[in-house]
Amino acid sequence: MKQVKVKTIKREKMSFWERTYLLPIFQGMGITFRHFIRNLIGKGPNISVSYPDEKKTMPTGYRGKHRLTQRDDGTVKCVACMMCATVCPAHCIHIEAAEHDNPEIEKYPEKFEIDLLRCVYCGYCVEACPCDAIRMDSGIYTIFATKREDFIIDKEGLLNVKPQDPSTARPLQGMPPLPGSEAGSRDLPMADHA
Amino acid sequence: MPVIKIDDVEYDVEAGQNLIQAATKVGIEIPHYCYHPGLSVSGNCRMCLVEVKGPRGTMAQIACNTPITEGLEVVTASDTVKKMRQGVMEFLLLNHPIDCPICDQAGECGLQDYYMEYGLYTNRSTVPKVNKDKVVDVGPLVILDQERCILCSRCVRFCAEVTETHELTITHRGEKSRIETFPGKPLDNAYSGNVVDICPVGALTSKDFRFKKRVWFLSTANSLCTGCAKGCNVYLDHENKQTYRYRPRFNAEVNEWWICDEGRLSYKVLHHNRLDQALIKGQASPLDAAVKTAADLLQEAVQRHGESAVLAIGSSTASLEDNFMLKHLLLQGASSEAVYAPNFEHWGEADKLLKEADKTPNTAGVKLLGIETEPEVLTQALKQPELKLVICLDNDAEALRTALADRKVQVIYLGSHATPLSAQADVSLPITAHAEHYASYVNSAERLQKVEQAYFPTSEARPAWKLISALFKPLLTAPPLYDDVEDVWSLLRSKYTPLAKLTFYEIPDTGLSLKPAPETDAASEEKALVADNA
Ligand code: SF4
Ligand code: SF4
Ligand code: SF4
Ligand code: SF4
Ligand code: FES
Repeated sequence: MKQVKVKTIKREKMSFWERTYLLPIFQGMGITFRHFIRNLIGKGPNISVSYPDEKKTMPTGYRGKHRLTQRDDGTVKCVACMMCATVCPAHCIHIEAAEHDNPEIEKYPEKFEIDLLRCVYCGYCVEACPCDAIRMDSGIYTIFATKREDFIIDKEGLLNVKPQDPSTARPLQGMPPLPGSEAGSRDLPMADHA
Repeated sequence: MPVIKIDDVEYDVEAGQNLIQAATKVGIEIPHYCYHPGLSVSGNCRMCLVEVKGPRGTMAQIACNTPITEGLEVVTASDTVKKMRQGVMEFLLLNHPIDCPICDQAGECGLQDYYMEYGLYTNRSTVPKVNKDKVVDVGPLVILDQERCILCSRCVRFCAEVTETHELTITHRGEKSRIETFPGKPLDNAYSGNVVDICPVGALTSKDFRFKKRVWFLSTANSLCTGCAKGCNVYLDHENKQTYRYRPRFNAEVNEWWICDEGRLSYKVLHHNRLDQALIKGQASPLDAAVKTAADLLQEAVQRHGESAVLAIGSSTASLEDNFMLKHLLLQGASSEAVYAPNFEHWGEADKLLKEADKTPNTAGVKLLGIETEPEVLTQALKQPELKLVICLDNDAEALRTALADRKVQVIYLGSHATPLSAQADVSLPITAHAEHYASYVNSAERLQKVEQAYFPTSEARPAWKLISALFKPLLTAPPLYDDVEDVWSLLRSKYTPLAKLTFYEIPDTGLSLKPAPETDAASEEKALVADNA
């Protein structure tokens, strides 16, 4: 058996005033009131947010409510590849694909639903998406509804979610061309494969 | 047998094959695109390059066009070979679009697979890719994407050699080469769907399966096409109790690598117009109650009016087990041998490749059981005055309904689909279809083949043999318990010599010929292999 080293730590004795408990209470109250008065007259750090009048700006990278990004013409950028649905550990993404009128785009989601109650906000869907079509940069952390069904957000709903700060949102990448664009424009920066 | 050396290991292989085949058999995969065992060798993709040792030193050579000869020495695992494959991949992908997210082939694509193994992973090309036509409608079943094509010419050779219809061809030259159909002549032969399977990339995809599912969500069961008496072997791809497609499953004795288009789409019957609940006089009812009612009707008919009051109609669309149970229990429970299984209206065109005129999968099976299949005999039998009750197993036809309409008889119908007869019958019981049960069928060449259960039925349906044994239970003094298809087989094999010594689960995946003289029959591949090794 290995010898266990034992180190005895002596408990510090409380002083007389500490043992009365009265002085520490007043000391504590003093700190509380100091902060209270400073915040009341507007001089303190005031770290509470007056929700819901005021909403907090979430740091970049915060995984809020999902949104689907749009092409220039406002249509959905998602091509219904199902990468997100495949990777989603909560199996909460439901997509039904359909044929797009433009053969250059070919495939788009006719139905795109996320069950926000089942979602664990892991962000895998964003990582998996090859088209930068789904993002969680909306900064929305309050997801509420009164019925279970209302937590299932559909394609329109997802398209309408706005990024928290459009100026800091990454530019869209690998944008497939719009209808009628010139041949050759399909060679996009993301096409970095042999 | 010639002895060859692959990567310094000696193998004893069969003569008369090429290097890819021989290597595959000993477990060495040589990547290839244009070579297909069912087609002639074209040798254009160069993916199968290996090093072959010859009198003038080691040379790069394509394996698909290298016949097996005594003393052949091959290197498949060297750095040079790897580099050659990488180089070939780079060329093949030079103008290939990055379509994987929208490409139905993704997940079962030859380019994806070999790219993971031999890809270069960087792009050295600085010129824009050549664009060709996308979403080209080449035929009723097939969509072509010219950009994704690697010009392996498998599809061209298929149309030239197998169907001999020559619809597809390669036009233009160099990087502009592409697959095209001739003006006004679409890819519209009876086997066109096979080009989708043989296309190693996503250039030819199925219109029917288009965008329905990503393939990695699908599970696969070994099954059979029930579209005709040929009994082509298929993979049944399904998810969530829904069949999405059939793909041909290789069987040297039946369909080789192919299936016909009609059969390919016949999976749809699994989900169309199913009888999904029990009916008593056309009214929905719980299954147990309906079985009880039917059993009572049967008991009353037999006990009150004697054995000649009952007649059973089997079907060549139903499995061997179902028909056997009907015949066997009718004899046991009602001492009657009045079983008929005519095929009234499932007839169509035959051709020289696979299709048979008999569009039911089990006519030979019904005959094996000794059940009468002449429609005339049944219509005569239905005229007998003593007849009180008919048990009909999955067999509905105009002619049958007319014959029944003239008679005041009770009908117990067991069927997988809702038909006019199932609506009229006194009791209708829902039975499983071939994706939902383990069962065997005998094809026109007397080959016993089985289907695997892919999923449980979505409805109350039960295997017909189970329902039939429940129907006859009150009539039997010691009702045996049939719980598993193997229980049915324990009886089946004792009654029919061709099936003696067989158990259901031992039927090979590729089936077993029931014809005599099994030694000339390379049927069971296992057997052939054992013989080979001996
Ligand atoms: S955040 Fe995670 S759990 Fe939520 S939808 Fe995306 S992948 Fe699924
Ligand atoms: S991964 Fe992206 S493109 Fe693919 S289905 Fe999901 S959101 Fe759409
Ligand atoms: S053919 Fe293969 S590599 Fe090409 S886009 Fe389709 S899945 Fe991707
Ligand atoms: S379409 Fe497919 S099978 Fe035909 S040549 Fe192109 S890659 Fe080969
Ligand atoms: S498989 Fe040998 S060259 Fe294509």
